[in-house]
Amino acid sequence: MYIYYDKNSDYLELFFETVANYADADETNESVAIFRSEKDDSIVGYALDNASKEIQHFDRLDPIDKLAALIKIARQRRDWSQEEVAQRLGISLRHYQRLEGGQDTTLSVLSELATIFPETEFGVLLEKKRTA
Amino acid sequence: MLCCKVLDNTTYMSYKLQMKLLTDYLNRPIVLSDESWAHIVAGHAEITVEMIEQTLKDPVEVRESAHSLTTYLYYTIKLSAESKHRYICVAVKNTELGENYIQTAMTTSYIKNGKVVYRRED
Repeated sequence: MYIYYDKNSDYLELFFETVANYADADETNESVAIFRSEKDDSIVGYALDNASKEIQHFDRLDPIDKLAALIKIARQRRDWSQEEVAQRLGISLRHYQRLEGGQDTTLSVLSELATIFPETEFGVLLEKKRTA
Repeated sequence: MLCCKVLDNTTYMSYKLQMKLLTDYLNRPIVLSDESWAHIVAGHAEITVEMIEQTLKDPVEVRESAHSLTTYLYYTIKLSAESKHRYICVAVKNTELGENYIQTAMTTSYIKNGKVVYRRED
């Protein structure tokens, strides 16, 4: 997964596949663009304006992908490097990069993330994961 | 395969060196940062620097972003579109210091809502 976030304009793009694509209209929400493959019209990603607010209510991502986007937004809004957050979490940089890439989550790390980024909805995601 | 990678890198580097500063239809300087270009290359494989240049220089329409009064969306029609008119959209952010820089660029099937700043007369 590839996530791009511009904190200056609070703009997020998230891709499941990086192929030639185009942005399509969202039927219900102008602040969300859907990226579709030019080849087969399948959904390959999303773009969100006002991402730090919209991401909390964006239901088209599975919890792990949403978590990855939330972490990236929260980190960049604080101007923290990946190394800095990894240090705060007590994990390796590679492990942290896997978290931000949506490749790995463990309950213990989620709890730590909820502590250092309290404005996010990690707690809600954590409850979902616990009850799953 | 290795040759292709070398060529891609060379092309990328030349773009980085040559295409730092672009201008729009009013000859305003627009910065294409390394970070933005890297994002465009990674996320929007269909976009080329020439498309961005053309869109800035000769847009069919420029609109204020509906969600950011300091972001302008430049649109032009993608010439190779076969099935329906698809647009090229370049998002330009105006900073507090008065600088303009490209945030992202993509193809799109529609022009998003927002105050019209410029419309080309054809």
